[in-house]
Amino acid sequence: MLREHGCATAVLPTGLEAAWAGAVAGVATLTAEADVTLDAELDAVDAVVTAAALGIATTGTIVLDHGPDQGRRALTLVPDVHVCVVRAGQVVHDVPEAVARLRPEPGNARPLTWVSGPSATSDIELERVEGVHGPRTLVVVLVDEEV
Amino acid sequence: MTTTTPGPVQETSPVFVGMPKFPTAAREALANTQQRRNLKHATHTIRDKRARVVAEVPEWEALRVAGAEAKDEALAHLGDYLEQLEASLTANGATVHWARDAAEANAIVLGIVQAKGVDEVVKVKSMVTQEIELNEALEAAGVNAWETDLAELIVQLGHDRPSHILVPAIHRNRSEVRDIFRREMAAVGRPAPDDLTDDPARLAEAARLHLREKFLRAKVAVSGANFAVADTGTLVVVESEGNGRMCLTLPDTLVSVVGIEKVLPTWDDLAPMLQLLPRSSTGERMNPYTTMWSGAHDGDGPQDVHVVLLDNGRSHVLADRVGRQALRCIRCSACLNVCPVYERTGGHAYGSVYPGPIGAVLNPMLRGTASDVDKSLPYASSLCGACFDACPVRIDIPELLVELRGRVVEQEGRTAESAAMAAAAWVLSDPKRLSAAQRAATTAGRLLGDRTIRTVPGLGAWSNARDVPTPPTETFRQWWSRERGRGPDERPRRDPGPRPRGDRRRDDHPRRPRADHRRRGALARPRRDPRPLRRERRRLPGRGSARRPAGRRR
Repeated sequence: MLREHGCATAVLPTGLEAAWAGAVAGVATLTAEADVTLDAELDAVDAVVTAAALGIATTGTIVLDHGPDQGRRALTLVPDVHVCVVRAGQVVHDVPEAVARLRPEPGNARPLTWVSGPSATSDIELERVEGVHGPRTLVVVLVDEEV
Repeated sequence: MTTTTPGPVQETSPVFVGMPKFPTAAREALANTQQRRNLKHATHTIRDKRARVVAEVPEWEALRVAGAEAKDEALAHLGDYLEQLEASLTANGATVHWARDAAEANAIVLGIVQAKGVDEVVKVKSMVTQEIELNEALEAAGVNAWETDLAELIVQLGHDRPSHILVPAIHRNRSEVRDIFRREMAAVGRPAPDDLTDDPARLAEAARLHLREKFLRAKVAVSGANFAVADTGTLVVVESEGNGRMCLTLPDTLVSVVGIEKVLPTWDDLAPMLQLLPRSSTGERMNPYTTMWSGAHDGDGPQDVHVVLLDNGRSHVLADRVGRQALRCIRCSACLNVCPVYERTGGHAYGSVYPGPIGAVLNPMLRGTASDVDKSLPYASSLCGACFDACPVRIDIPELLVELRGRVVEQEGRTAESAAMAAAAWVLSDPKRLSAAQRAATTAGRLLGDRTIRTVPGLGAWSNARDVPTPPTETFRQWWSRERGRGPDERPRRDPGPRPRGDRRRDDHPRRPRADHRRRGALARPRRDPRPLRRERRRLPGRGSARRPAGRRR
């Protein structure tokens, strides 16, 4: 995927599964989350590879809770390509199920980002344009694996 | 029912002071054929998309009820939930501010911005900051407020006003957008590329480049919120472009201005809301991006998080037993897209940041009905009821419009119309007066002959499109007495239908044989079936049947 989108550099969250990180290392120069402290540095990175908190089947949504395998929010926002790996066991049926699972823990709330496709706008004559500010390419890899 | 409610109303912001009444502003908008074409295309496209994705959800009606109930619960105990929200936000490391009106809210935001020593902020599209005219207030103090939503950017660069809640630049077409970008971008940041065309993808790309440097540079962001969850202290912003994520993530300081009606009692209330809002608003199963944050998160995103809870006329609406349901509004704009009036006039004629059917009820309630435009807004509707059917939180907009019309009429006191009605009541309440009036009318009828009355002084607008029927030269009673040979009071007995009050005199001797004889004569003529037509009372689908599903909490 990264090769297909011409990504030479990629940033990885600290807690990403080692096997996935290894696979990415084969095609792109890696940067660790901790090494990009400035948003401007992040802007120079081509891609980001993360896991997800869960997926929602009916709406085609992935939800990031920005845990260690997903990184802080800027990581999945600034680079232009986001590859997100979701395990089949993480996929719930609908929105109420997702909301029930994501309830913030008191005192230890995480920020949540719900992503249902690449950034898009229909602001000019209602013609849909994909890719405005977020990653213009979103690739979701669904892995046949329980959590 | 028509009592005025306590609590301060919202001040009409300087931009809209002196707005003409709706029909005047609408006439101007109607003459703009380009805008009408854009609007028709936009409203119909979104309307169709919405209809498709709503039809996919068999339990849609139950979702609407759940959404309305969550909002009603919040509004019924608003004080408690707001205090709970404040407590949970504070526990999560956010600072909560309370603002009574626009001036207070603007001063709070400006204070935070100035304390940071910056002269610019990036903004997420937010209705409430438009309502309080925050950008103008910041600019007056030398702070640039950059709108980052593409449509809002177009509006801001074009020195224009939004015309739709969801797609504010819908009155502009692509070549106008290109011209605005070429002309204006350079003065405020990265200029538009020299070879910029009017292709929407190229225009979006130009906006991406123009705004990226601002996102990476900005120290302070200002947002609104779609929902504020009381029990977890979570704010939610629902968006499509990613400009929201940029503003909510990259700057160090985040100030969110939240209307007090945005509060939801519990986290679980997000379940119906996150299904209702995207489907109703953009006609999508889910919007591309939703961000939820609960105060400040260690090492991730803004560390200095402020929330400004704003009243600005909302408690005035809350005190109104009929009107308070308008505070359920989640600003989805579904009512705009189905409204036959909005579709033709567009948003500017409503004289507020809240246009369309919801604007026609919300503005007169938030601001009162003193100004020309607010007085006329309840009439900016054909009462067709499409807005109620589309509303995801079941706001009965037609009911509110009728209620507000009543208030406007009562407030106006004695008018030519009310005097005419009083005179008509006086004449119609007495058969002698009625009969005298009818005889006078026949005189007028004879004088007029075959001529048609085309205008009536004082009824200009009404008689523009209508002819007044020429009065007959003979009343029915005169005809009856001529044809049937008895006095004008005569009437056959056992005649179906109600009797006028003044005719009771003849019931004193109802069994007069002559009358019986007369009646047979009358029956000799062929008659129509005397059974009255039964008229089904028509109801709007789903209306008045707010049945709650069994087992619903509270």
